[in-house]
Amino acid sequence: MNVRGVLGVVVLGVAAWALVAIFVTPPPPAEPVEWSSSRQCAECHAAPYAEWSQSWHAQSWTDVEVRKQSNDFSNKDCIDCHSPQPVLVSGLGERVLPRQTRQIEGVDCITCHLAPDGSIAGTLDNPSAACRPVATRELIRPEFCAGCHNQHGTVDQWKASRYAQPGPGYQDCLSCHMPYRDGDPSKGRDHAMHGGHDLELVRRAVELRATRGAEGVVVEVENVGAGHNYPTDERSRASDVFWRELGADGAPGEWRHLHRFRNPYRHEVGMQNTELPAGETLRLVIDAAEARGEIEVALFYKLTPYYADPERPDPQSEASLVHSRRVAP
Amino acid sequence: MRAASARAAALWAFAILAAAGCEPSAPDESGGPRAVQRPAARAGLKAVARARIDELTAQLTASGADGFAATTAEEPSAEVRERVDGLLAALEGADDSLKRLAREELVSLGAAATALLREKLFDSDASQNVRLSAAQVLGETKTRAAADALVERIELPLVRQDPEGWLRAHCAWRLGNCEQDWIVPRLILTLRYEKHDETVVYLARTLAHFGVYSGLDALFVVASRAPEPELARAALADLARDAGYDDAAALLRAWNDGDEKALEAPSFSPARELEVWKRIERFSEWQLRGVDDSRFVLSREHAHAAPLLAAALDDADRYIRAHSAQCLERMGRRARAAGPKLLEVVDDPEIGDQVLLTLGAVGHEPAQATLIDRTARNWPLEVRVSAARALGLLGLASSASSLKALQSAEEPLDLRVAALCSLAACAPGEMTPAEAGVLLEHFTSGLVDSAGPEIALGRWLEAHASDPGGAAVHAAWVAVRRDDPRERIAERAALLRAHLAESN
Repeated sequence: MNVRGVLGVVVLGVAAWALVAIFVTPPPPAEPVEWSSSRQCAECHAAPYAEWSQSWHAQSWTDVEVRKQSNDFSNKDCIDCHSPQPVLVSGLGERVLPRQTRQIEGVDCITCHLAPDGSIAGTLDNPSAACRPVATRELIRPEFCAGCHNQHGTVDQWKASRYAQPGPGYQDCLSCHMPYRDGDPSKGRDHAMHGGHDLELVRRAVELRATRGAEGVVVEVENVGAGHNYPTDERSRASDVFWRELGADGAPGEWRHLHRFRNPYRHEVGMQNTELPAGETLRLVIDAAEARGEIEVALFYKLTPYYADPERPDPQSEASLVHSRRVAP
Repeated sequence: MRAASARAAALWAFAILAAAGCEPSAPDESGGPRAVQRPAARAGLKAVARARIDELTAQLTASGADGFAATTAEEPSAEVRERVDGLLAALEGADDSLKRLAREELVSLGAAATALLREKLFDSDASQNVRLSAAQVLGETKTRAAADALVERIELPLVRQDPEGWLRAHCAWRLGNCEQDWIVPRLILTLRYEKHDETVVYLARTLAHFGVYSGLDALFVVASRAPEPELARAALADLARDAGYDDAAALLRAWNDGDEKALEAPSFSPARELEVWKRIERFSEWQLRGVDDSRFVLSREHAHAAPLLAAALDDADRYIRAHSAQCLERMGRRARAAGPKLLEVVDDPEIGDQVLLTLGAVGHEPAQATLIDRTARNWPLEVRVSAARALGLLGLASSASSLKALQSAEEPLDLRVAALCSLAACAPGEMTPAEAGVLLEHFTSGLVDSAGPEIALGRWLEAHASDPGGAAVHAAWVAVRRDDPRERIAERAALLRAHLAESN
């Protein structure tokens, strides 16, 4: 086809597009809605709503442990993050303030998607949809999560990691905690917000290695998958390395504590933050004289930090097993 | 000709493209996703907290106030050090008149002796008697530096583990005579974290000495559970008697209700005002640690702090405004004086909902009409719900009809439930069994928080205890004790459901 032909096709195409744009009447905009509950979202967004309903964001107000710790939220300081005003109302990267309505819904659809002007922040513009979403770039930024989660330094930890560097290795909060459904961008993002309660995610975050050497059993824990410290969250998360002897008859001995990864509560003075930063490895040694026979080394994860009997902790019943390694005599 | 045609076609294409690009549904001027803009803040705001800190510091410095005049810290001479050691040794003797003279001389040695006595407080190698004597003399020195040394020793558990509760308790006791009321905010904070029962008792006593009774609740805890609760019980009895109340519970109620007699206080010095403003300024911090501590301290300060918190409602920092309003809410009736200022800023677009709640909590009755107005449909839901809750906190029975008017099925659920809960607080006798039944359904529906309805239904039952069977069901309701809130809710709901069915 010569230049004239190509040009003709282009002009015809543009003209057809312009005619459609000018003369075809778009569907009328939806009526404005006052958003009083995230249940309103479920009518059109059943799948994301169902995912969110099972998430810990949805339980931030109702979780029994939270209610106990906050004395049914009579400690009002807890409300700021457990029932926050919409993030975009507080401002991107700004600390959230508490809200007065739909507290039982915790960190809900409205918390993330309501903009200060009453519109709905989404990934696409769609004036004909009931909620009339407006594409909003802030939704996908790590600063969006910071309003609550950087109270524990999580976003700052990510910023200091290699995952925050521009380039092919870049991964942000959504990459792990809100991935595309089935890895397919056309299916949208999973709103279940997997985190520390998802043991599989925790298992992918760390590796445990144990080998016998001249000085004893060398144990290494490496943060291979979390884009922040392992574990993150100041308040209560903890991860412990234990080991025990495995007798010749297969009967294991008592668990012996080797190390704890944790950032203590503010009132726990005299304790250091021992969380493991992204990409880093901690090397521990079990003295050769103590571990002559076959031993098992295990990494456990705890959502609340304390054991019933601190002198004789029972990680198998009070914590979740992340990884376990056997080391031959 | 061929070139001219191509040029014309290109111009047409450009024109058509430009026209199409101007279509009204474009998201923003750049054509990409928008950047969200927050609404403008209230006009007339300024850096109130920083300005007051600067003014007070300048005022205290200019007046040569203790601890503010410019001085150069000098290392105590060997002679002074020897003198202080000798006098401290004399304090270990048995002769009371000699001991008194030794203390008086230590006080007269001034700043140099204070610095050395402070060293003794923190020197774990010094004998127990020497350290107790050092605390006593520092208490009698009555200077800012001496009080600061004692408070710092009590604050040590905030920094590192400190097994010497006996010394902290002694420092807290000696602070009762220091005549330095600026220490109050710091003592309130240490009381929050203190675990040593004897220290708790003396911290609460010293706070009471400065007219602050917010430590009484800690005394009640110690009196109920400590292995030796007598010290706390004696303190409760002493404080109630000294303040002119029958018992400590009555004193604490009066303090929380803003009773004038309970709020009589010896002073509220500019130095203490400065400490309060420094705490207010910390509301602007990003990390909640300092913010939470400041909220705790200022909510439990004397009513004299309320006008300062009210003035902070004009600060340019919205966190300073929001948390100041929260503190006033938590002070409750003790912060009644802040009412007019709160009413003035009730439409602050960033903190208006919190201000409404605070107006109710402080009991500012002239705000009733404004609160009722803000429940109307032309206001945002967050404002309407806050106003409805505030009417309950205000507690005026004359709000009942306005609250009942919010029960239309068209109204959002949060608003209806808030209004019913407030009705139970304002006028429980006017709540009908049918309305109680509606609240009962919300109590168990899982669609709203159960805490508000639970309190409201308890109030309704109490108000209707004289109805047939009312006293029994109220007693049964109160008697339900379950660690698991879900079990408690289910049991109470079953009780009330049966009662309402019988009533019908």
